[in-house]
Amino acid sequence: MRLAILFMIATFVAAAQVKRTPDGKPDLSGMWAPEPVFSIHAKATALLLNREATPVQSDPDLRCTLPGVPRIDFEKPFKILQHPDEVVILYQDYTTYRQIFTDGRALPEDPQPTWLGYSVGKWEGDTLVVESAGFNDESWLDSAGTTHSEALHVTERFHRRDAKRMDIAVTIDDPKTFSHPFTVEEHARLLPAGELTEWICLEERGIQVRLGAER
Amino acid sequence: MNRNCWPLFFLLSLAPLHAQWLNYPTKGAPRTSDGKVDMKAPAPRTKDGQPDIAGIWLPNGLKYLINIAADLKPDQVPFQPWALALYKERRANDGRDDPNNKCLPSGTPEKDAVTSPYKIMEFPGEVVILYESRTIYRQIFTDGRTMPKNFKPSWQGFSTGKWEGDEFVVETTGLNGKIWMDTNGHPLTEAAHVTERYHRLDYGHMTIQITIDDPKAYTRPWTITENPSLEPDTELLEYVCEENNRDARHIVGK
Repeated sequence: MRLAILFMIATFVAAAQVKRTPDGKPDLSGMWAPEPVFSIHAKATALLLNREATPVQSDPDLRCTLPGVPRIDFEKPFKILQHPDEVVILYQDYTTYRQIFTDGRALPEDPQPTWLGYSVGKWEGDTLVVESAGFNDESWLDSAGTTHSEALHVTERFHRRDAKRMDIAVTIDDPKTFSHPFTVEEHARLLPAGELTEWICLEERGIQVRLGAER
Repeated sequence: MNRNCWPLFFLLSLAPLHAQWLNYPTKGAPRTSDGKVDMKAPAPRTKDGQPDIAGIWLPNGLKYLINIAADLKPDQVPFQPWALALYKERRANDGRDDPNNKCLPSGTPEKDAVTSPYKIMEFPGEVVILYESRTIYRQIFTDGRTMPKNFKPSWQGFSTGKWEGDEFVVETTGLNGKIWMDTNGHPLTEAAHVTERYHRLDYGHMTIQITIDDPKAYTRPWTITENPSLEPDTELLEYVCEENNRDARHIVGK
């Protein structure tokens, strides 16, 4: 009982350290460094419906297209910027970005499939719940080569636990690929003095890689 | 096909596909009685009183992407001799070596003229531009910081911005020297200092006055002005050059 009370107080104190935006939401803004996640499926109990291994050569990262979601959350730092109607994530990876619309719009019904999908968000208490769909079936969910179908629906729950830490619970729902939805707990820490630098895949990988893949 | 058509062919392949995205009415946009956005209404202002440059913008046509100096007479571009020779060589080769053909990024200031929509957003301490082209972003710091000493030269460089009257003035250095400022191939070296003055004239129109100060490539600073328009009621789409780039193998030059 005493421990439970202490835990509640500690949680309350931690939450109080998180600044709020003028509209009263937790301010998620800042540079964040994720703890690397190699395989999203490693600890999941969901069964892969197709167990054929994915050849390493088919890694879209070797073609310098774009990483998928949530793979892009797992590898390099990212910066969150927050408006009442839209949260923007600027990624170090590929100098690319995602727009998360929090203005109440719905996900498009039959969108053109893309690498990073379409995202809308809403606040549930102090957690930003981001729903994404409209993905192509070429991206990988992680660096281990976990593939998916166009039916993929990703839910990311961003919760700033205290001033320096963010918990991101990522739920993968793809009935054509997995027997049931499963969730991966990801953690990121604040980089108070960090800043993004330009990261151009073709230069990082060397252009020959792309030309090789193209032939 | 006439070899001089290739740059145009390439540019047309960049044509924006934003019609595919559903119609999202721009919040707070002034509208005429028929429901259309009133592009000539006054420019909105921020709480600080400056014109609010936030929104989705689109360059008016291909003019400045093909030739950033399109409004100048040829002898008004103050090339250094080697830069003029390089420019002529690039034109003679149909722009074969344009980094864009290999899916490398457009740098500053070519990005201002790429005919895909871009979205300007203002946040505390920085203005961010999200480009549909290449799904890439640019940061312009407004918190008073200066370029870090160890800054690695890049395509977009290091940009800071401040307000001067109704103009948002962006200064950029730290460029990587590989930049073509247009598909014609006006060069820009790592010594360049680029100043962009964004001025929103009314709700739907903006000018960007661009001054190129690059003593290695040009004998004096020179200035041009571009004129993007607001793209209301839409959103950016994803654009991945590497997905299906067929240009490079066709642009063979001499």
